[in-house]
Amino acid sequence: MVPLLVLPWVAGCASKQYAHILANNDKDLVGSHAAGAATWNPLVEESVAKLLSRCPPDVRPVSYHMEGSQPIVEGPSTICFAGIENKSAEELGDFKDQLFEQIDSQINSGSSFRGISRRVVQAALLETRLRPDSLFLPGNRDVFAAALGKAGSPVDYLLFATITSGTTDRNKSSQRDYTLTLEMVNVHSGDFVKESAKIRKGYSKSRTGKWWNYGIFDQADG
Amino acid sequence: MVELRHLRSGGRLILPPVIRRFVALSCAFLSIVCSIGCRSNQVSLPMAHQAFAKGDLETATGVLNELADGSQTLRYPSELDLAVVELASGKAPEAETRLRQLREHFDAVAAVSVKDAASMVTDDRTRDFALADYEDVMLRTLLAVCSLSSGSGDATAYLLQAQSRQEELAERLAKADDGPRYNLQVALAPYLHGAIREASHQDYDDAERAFRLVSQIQPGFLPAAEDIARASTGTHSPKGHGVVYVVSLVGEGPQRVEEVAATTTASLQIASSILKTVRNEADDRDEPVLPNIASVKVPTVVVPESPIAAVGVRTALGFLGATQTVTDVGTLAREQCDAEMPWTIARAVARRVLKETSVAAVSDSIGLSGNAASVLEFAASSVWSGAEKADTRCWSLLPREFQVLRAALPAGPQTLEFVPLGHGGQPIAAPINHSLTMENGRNHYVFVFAPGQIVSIVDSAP
Repeated sequence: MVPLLVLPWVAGCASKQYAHILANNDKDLVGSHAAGAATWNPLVEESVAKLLSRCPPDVRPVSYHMEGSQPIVEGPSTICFAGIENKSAEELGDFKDQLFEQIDSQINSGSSFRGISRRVVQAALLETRLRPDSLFLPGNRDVFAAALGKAGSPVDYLLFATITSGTTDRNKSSQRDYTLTLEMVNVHSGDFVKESAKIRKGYSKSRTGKWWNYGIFDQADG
Repeated sequence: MVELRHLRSGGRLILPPVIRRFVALSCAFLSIVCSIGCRSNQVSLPMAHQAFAKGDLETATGVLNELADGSQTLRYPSELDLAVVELASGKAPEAETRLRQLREHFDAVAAVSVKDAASMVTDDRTRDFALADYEDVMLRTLLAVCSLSSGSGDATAYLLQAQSRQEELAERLAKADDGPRYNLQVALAPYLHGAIREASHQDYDDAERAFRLVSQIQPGFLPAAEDIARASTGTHSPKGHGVVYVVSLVGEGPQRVEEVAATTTASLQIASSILKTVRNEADDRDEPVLPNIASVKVPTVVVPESPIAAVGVRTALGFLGATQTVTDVGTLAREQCDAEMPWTIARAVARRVLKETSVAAVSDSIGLSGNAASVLEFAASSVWSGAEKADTRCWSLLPREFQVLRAALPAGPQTLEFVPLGHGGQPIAAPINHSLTMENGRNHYVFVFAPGQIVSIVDSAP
């Protein structure tokens, strides 16, 4: 009788999930299998800050105008964020749009540039049927700039973001370097400015992997 | 030998105490047996399936609603089927809400462990209904289909969830060293994700990755090569054109049926370890003695024969082509069921052993011995084990295959003609016309439900 009485008839039990709101000073979670917030957030901040610091504050105002007339838009230069290209070994999942908005917002929050709405950019790409990576070609750039101008959003700069990664494996541990590169091309002159930020991250199968590989004896060296 | 004497006293039949106990025990077992599997209502899942296959969505909805409100055992499988019927009926928002609630329910029900399995003393039907791994991924994918149809705007989120769930389940499988191995990847999720990202005209790299994943999961899906090439160097569509994605749900999906399976060495070894876990026996040297059990009832997957092989699509411009299989649900179901079979058999064997042990313990506790004990144990064990049935619950209104066809069409009003094609490529029924309006540079999704013939065509929201 014992087994009958002892054995419960319940096949499974419900699992629960809990959540809490993070305070501003709470640290971001470090992803165990992929980059995550602790990697991307500082990368965006650093690369955008570097780029904006290198750009001249007295950039010429927007110059889309009719022949023989004055420029129709005055003010800070306009910048068109063409998109993020992921060339890393990891899928970005829901982070891609998040990164796009973060970069776009940070650039807009400065006084040097005025961003063009993402929807306008997508409409211009749709109209011209140009790929973002084809805008580096002067001819395509002109067609695209004209489409934006026609939509009432003349452009001075095109901004491209690229995510790359480099992976080093050693036995059961690995190191992955993540780089976010921002490249800003002047539509009028073709000149470009490029800045990047890098974060290195170690992955291991055990909690002690961090000390084992990157401990006080500099084991990573050999 | 027990002496059987019938004594009458005051009109009552007086039996010896031993026999009275035996009769009482047998009655108890019979009442358990009768309580298992008795249904008072007349509706059943096959009725809903037949109605759906004939295109009688109203009857299918009625039957499934009744089943979902009925016994707890069939509630969740019926609700899953109901969501498919709602989607086919053009009630995408209702289907989306239902599937969201089901997703939360199934996420909350923990996976059944070896110990849980051994704890069951009736049969597997008493377990909470849990989704097979491919069904778990499919649930999120169908949520995306509902969202595309209703225009709720959450399709991308659902597709990301599907892919993330897929990775999570694959990782769990890989971690279980001696567990079953099977494919659970649903290529439809990355395919739709790629299609949506490509239509942004900005995220071609995402689209390329997604299509490469589709090609990796479903190498037989030939259009993937064209999709990869377009996403890596081309553009979404020519100027003045939009793109229509025809997603067809073709054939009757996999069903679980009961069959008698012979025990195998592998399954007996697993059963032995289940019993050791239940009894908390740490000593590896003391293997439990298993009785001679030759066969047990288990569920197996059957894909019903359907005359339909694909859906042909034609416009005024000509024949666009036939839909191609991007996810073979039947194969996914069969692979998982076959891979898990040793564990399924082992659970049934372990359960049988526990039942026999329990009966022996009862017999011992009431003081029976000799032939009387043997008779009681044999009778009770036979009745108890005979009442077992395999757990054949599953998401049975999923199609046999998800197929897709992509075509760029001029912007403006278009009429598509859908024709069900047989296995020889010949039309098996009259074509059905469907009008839609293509938008320049945008995607348009059409979902065709064809379990045997085309029963419903549902458009995406503008």
